[in-house]
Amino acid sequence: MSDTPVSAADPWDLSDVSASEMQALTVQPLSLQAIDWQDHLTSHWHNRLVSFPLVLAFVLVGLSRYYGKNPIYHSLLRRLWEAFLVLGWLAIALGEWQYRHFDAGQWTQLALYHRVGGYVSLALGTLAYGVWGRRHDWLVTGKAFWSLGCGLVLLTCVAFLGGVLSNAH
Amino acid sequence: MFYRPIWRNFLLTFAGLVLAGTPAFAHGGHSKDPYHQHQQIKATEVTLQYQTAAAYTQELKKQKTALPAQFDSKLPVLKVILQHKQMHLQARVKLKVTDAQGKSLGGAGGVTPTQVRSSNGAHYITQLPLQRGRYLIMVQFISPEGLQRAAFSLPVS
Repeated sequence: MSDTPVSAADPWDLSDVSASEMQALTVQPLSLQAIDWQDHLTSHWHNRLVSFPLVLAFVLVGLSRYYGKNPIYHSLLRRLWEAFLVLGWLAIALGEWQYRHFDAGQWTQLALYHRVGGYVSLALGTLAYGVWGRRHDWLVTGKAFWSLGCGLVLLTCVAFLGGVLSNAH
Repeated sequence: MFYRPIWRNFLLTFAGLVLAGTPAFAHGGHSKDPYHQHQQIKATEVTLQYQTAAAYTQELKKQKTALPAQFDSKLPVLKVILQHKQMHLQARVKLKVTDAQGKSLGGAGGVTPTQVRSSNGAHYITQLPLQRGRYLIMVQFISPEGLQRAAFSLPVS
């Protein structure tokens, strides 16, 4: 694109540059054949998957508040919580895999906070699941609601850092 | 004690999973901002930004940089940034702007933008009365690899 012949007389006189020549210098839309589909299908899986555990965590806390008292919904909450944990740890594993190919550069510190925050929030989620397994009435207590709320705030901050990393890098 | 799951629970679980997945669709890709475009020309990244005079003034104010002497607060700003291996390139720059009919704005021979040095490095600005429509903007500059050109299609709405 930049190897377009430039007028030898005065390269800074742009009078002879036509609109079609300028058009040819612009970035042309990629054709479907030119897109590296394999690369798109195999990259950034952490970014794609991470929305699932994040929203599941919000859904879980909301449902726990409203349906936690009714034991008929406990199996639903269990399945959702298990889905959150499985997808969350999978997102962490994919994040680790993605990090190996990620040149953080000046974002190293932010990437570290995002990474550590991810581990801490998932570890707390796993711990809370264990506590609920031992004490079935724990979920409806005020303490549980505020603990889970704080966990959500932490998870949101971690997700925000991830968003900054993915958009700014 | 957990009750056996009933069909409603499965349905709610499924709805929860679908709901959880919706942001993934929104994460499909970063939308391209036509007023903030980039092009990689060899080792130099050329950035073209189209801003209102107010937004540009605000930006310079944040960087504690004075406005250029010939600044018109009514005209929009076309800003060019040249980055070469993470360093702001200070080079001779010339722009050529044409409208949808191929008519040159600011002279057929091109426009020499004003260099503005801020705390973030140098950039180049020019102010042209761009109306609604599509414009072609060519940036010619000297990089360590020699004379280079990049062009952008700018839809002004």
